[in-house]
Amino acid sequence: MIEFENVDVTYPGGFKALHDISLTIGDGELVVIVGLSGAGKSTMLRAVNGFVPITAGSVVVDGVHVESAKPTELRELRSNIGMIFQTFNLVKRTTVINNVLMGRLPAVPRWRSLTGSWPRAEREKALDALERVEIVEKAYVRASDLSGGQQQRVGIARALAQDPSVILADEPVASLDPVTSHTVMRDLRRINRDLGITTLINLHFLDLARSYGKRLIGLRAGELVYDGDIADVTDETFRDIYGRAVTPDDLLEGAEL
Amino acid sequence: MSEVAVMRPAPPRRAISLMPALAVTTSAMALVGVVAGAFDGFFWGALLAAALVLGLRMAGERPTSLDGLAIGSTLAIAGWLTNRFLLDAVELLTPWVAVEVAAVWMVAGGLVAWVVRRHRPSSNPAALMAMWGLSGLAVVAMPGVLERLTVEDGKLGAATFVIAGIAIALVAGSATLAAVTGVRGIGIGGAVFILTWFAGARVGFTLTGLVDNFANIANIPNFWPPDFSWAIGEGVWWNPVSWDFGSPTLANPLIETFQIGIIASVLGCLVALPVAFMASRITTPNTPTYVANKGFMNVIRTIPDLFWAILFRTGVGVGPLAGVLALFFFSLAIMSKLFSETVDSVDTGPLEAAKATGSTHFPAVRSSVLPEVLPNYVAYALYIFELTIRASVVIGLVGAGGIGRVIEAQRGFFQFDRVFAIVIVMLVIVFVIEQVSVYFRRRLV
Repeated sequence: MIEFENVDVTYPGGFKALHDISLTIGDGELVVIVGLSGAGKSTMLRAVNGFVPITAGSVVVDGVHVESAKPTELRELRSNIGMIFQTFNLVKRTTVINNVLMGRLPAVPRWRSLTGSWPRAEREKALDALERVEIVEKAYVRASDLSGGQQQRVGIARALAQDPSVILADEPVASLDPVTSHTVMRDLRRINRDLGITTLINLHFLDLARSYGKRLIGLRAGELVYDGDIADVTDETFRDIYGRAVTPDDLLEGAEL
Repeated sequence: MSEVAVMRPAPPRRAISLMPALAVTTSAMALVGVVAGAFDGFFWGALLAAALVLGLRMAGERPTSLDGLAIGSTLAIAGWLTNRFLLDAVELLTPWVAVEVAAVWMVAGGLVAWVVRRHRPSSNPAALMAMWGLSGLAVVAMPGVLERLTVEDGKLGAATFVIAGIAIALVAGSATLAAVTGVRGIGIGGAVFILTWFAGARVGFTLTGLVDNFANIANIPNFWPPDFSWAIGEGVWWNPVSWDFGSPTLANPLIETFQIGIIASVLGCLVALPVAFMASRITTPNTPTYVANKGFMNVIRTIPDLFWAILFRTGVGVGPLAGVLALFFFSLAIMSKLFSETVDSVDTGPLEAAKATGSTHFPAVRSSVLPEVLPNYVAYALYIFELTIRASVVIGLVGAGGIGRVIEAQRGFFQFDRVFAIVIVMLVIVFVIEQVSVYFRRRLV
């Protein structure tokens, strides 16, 4: 369970990224967050795992207050939250499995993580995660040798290897082509259904949001302007979120409009 | 509404357009030197003015005759004053003389700037003034000029005028051109030139001196032919059973040099690894650690390798241990600096991802940053090894072991044929190591 209560985030420069956000996300939900760039989508995700400190209100994840958590508590919390990035953030000069094993860092003693001597059980877990995104055959390939879509699947596997209860996906398909975008979104939905992992996805393509989301959160200039079932969403809603009419640029397959 | 045609931007002015003016100035200076060596600085200024007016015309400006007169008279006076200062200067360039000369030339530069500004409002008069002031300094600092001017008869030879002409034409030309065209690179180039010239003048560097001194090498007794038979030694070179080396003259000290180099570079690079990580903003765990490591790095980098060698020779006595310790700090200093800058430029995304998994700091750094920079690390380590082999020759000279000590001993006995043989052997070895290291480094990064 993730609870936002009157959350404000103001960056050191004075920029107000989030203003008075209150909402609750239940366990196992799949939530899509949409909004223009700069609307606060990324900030909202990063407030969940404490990457962005909130300036007012409270964020509670599985009963833990993120804003007041001590460093050890915060690390404990983060080990239950997988994160997926727009630019994949893989270590390119090492193998796929080493990247996935990063998800197991908190689970092993320090000497093991520093020397890179991973126990067999952890390696198995990493391979399991790779199997789930159907890329296990690439386990010992250098990450830089993979295509964009494959790299993002490794990113998902790294998050899965954590055995997380929450997955935060920050624009997971923004650097991918339409076909692989659908593959990655399908993977995320499947993981959400099969494993019951609460999943928050930032998107800026409306058609993707419609086809894969269940619940939609709309942000505009740091304020919550929509929160509800995706089935009830109309073009009017998107106009509200975007402050303008929907254009082909807002759709992954722009021609369909 | 009429359609406005989009103007194509004009190509930038080329620095080359002022080159004829520079050539004219230079040859005119030479002419003054030949024909009228006794005339004073009035001619310097007048010539400079003529070159400037010519330069402005070639740069596409149209100075009026009044402009030319103003420039000419000001520069002539400035030149004359400079000459007076120079002739009055008893000692080599005191700061006060430099300031006075610079001030005179800045006034001259100001006038030129004013004229230029009338034709091209966008040019920067302050920059022009500063450049002219600096050029005045450059003239004062010119090697040889001052010296010759203080010679009793006060006459200047043609060669001096050529040098002076080139210098003045270059600095004044570059300053003017920078101001007129707005291409700052020319001004920066001029400033670098002036600084170099100034530095050369202060340490008394002259090309003729270099050539003269270099010719002195011929005076070293009996360095030719190099004594390879001594260097290589006689009999069995190496006994593979007992690991004895048959030729103690060169082989053993050479091996010692290698050993010093290997131990020092391996230890130095190992210690540099954590130091570099903690001295990079990206991977440091906290600010106090960052400051401490950065400070440590800066302190050991300030101390040169030869000084380390002297320090440890005094500390632990003459011998290879002193060499190892000295080169350890030497390689640590270079490696930590090079490597921490590599870490600084690494992509922070993977580290963020590692932190997002809830990992503690060092395991996160180890798994996300280290693999990205490891190839650079190995490449630098090879380079450091190369450096330590070369440096171990030098520090051997002060008694820190290795081949350098043999060189120093043979030099003391005036056995220059042997010294020469060692130098050639070292040349070959260093070249081979460098080629091998370059080969591997190219494959790594």
